[in-house]
Amino acid sequence: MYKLKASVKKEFLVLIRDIPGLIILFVMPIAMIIVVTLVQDSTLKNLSDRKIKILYIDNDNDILSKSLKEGLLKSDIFEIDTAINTFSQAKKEVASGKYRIAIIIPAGATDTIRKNVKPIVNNIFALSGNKRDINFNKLEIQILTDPTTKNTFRQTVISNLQTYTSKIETQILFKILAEQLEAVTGTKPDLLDKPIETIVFKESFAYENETSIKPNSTQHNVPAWTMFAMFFIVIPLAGNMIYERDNGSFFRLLTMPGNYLTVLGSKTIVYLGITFLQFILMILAGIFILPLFGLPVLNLGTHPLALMITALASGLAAVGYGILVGTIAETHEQAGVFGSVSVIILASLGGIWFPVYAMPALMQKISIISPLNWGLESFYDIFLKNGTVTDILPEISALIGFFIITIFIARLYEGAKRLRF
Amino acid sequence: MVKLENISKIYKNSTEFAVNGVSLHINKGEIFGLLGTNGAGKTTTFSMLCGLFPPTTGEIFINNLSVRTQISEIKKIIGVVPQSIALYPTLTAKENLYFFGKMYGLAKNELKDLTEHWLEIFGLSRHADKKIKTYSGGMKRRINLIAGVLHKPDLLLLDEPAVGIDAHSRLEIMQELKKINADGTTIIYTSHYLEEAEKFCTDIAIIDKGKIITQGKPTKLVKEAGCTNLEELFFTLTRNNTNV
Repeated sequence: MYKLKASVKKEFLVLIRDIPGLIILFVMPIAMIIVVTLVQDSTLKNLSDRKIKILYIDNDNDILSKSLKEGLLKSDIFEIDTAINTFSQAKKEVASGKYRIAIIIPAGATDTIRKNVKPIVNNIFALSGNKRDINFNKLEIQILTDPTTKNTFRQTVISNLQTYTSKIETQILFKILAEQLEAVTGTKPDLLDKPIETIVFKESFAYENETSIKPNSTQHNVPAWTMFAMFFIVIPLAGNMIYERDNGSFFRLLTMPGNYLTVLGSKTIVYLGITFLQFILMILAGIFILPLFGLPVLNLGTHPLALMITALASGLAAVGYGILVGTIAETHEQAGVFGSVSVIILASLGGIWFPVYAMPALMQKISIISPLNWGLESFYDIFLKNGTVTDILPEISALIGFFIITIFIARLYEGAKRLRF
Repeated sequence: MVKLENISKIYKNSTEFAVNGVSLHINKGEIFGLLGTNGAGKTTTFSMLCGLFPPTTGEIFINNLSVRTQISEIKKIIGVVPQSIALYPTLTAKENLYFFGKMYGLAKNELKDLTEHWLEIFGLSRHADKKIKTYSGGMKRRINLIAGVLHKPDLLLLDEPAVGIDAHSRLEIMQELKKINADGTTIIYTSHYLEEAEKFCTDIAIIDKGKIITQGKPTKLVKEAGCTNLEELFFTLTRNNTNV
């Protein structure tokens, strides 16, 4: 214990005097979390959270154009601008990038629908022998889009337009049908002039436990970049081990009484402390700093113990990986390049950059090999599903198992390396 | 004190002997110089004496303890001063010495006294709280040495302890090593400085191509070979060995 304490103190002193190393460990992740969350915020926001500006040219000025405008406004997705009146002007505005999209309703659009619907209603009331073939007039609603607009965005607008136009078509159909019925029966039917909406969609997030936490950029980025920062400890930790080997102090330690595990133990304790500190800082950034940039406040869920355990288990896995890289790498260059590239690959696989559910099926399967994914999933369970310690046990076991395996391999490799001589 | 019984070493992926059938007997209280050119086998022998890796064949005993099987016991009685400055540059001299002293199991108070004592002897007391990276080469060498002798080892293993420093610092280090030896510590020392070895060592062995080509008291060896000094003897023997 005495030797472990001395070794821990030495590791601590070496670490806190390495200013560039501390910048990598603390300043870089905080900067990353702010920048990436800001960048991703609009992407991860629900479409309903922000409005799409549409240039709306109404040449119809009848039921269709008015109802369509009303419907688009009611949807809360769109913001309508009617300042421009001509197609050529609208084209210019969209081409210049001022508007992403323009909708041009042609003159007489509502009349065209009426003309199309009337023969249908007439056929309904006609005797079977008197039914006539119907030739529909085409109604063209023009949509101008900025070529740089994403497909998904365009489809959202078009599908909304299709929904409203078909609703209006049905409304007009009902109206004419009502007029015909009134002519036949002498009384005006009550319900048919109102839109029928018997099917409604109610959307909510599915959780095992009751919660009102909504997934957002902060809830994703804080745990994601905490995991990334923790694993980036591989650079200073492996560098520290290689430096000790290069300058001979590791050789001196090997000639001293004591166990090699004391050396590894002290590194584990100090660097685990660092990862935990990183975690605390990232959490504080999520609660206090991100809201200053207009980003959502981090919600920690309801089980702080589970959160602490996740942070410690993730830190252990990161330290184990750093020790393994530091043991195997022969030079700083090897450790630096392999360490950073491997962490970036593990981060990509683990869903740090891009959510796992949005990956191709094969990549989703591969993602489970990344310890960053285990940690991230555990944080998600706690932050978004109010997960308890029992809920996160599989991920925690995997992270601790990863630490044990990496230390075991490092120990084995170190022994084998000396036998190589 | 130290017995090397016909030890040999072949590194993996090599077919040549780095050390070939070396037998040495070093008595308690000696200052034993293991001399040789680069690649002669000094560092390999030194590393095996420290227990860093075992010999391919043969046995090494220190205080009748086998390096192969009782290395944990041996580590308690040896002190090692590597050729490189095996210190932490961002720690102060005191912090370095406290750390290495504690790793040798020295108690806090004893360690404090010993650290002050050695820093005083080497004239480094007023630099005790300065970081090693701010030290001159000679100062670093002295702290490197103190870290190996702090716990008063029975056997001190020195690998080129005064390499790369000025003559004044080297002389100071060698004088202190003589005192350490006079206090009962056996010293095994490797060096390129033959003149220094001639003055400093009670016994020497010259190693070349992994084999001991001569051993004994330096004055006696020089006289028997009809040479004027150890340097001449060394060149004569290693040249002959090359010709063979």
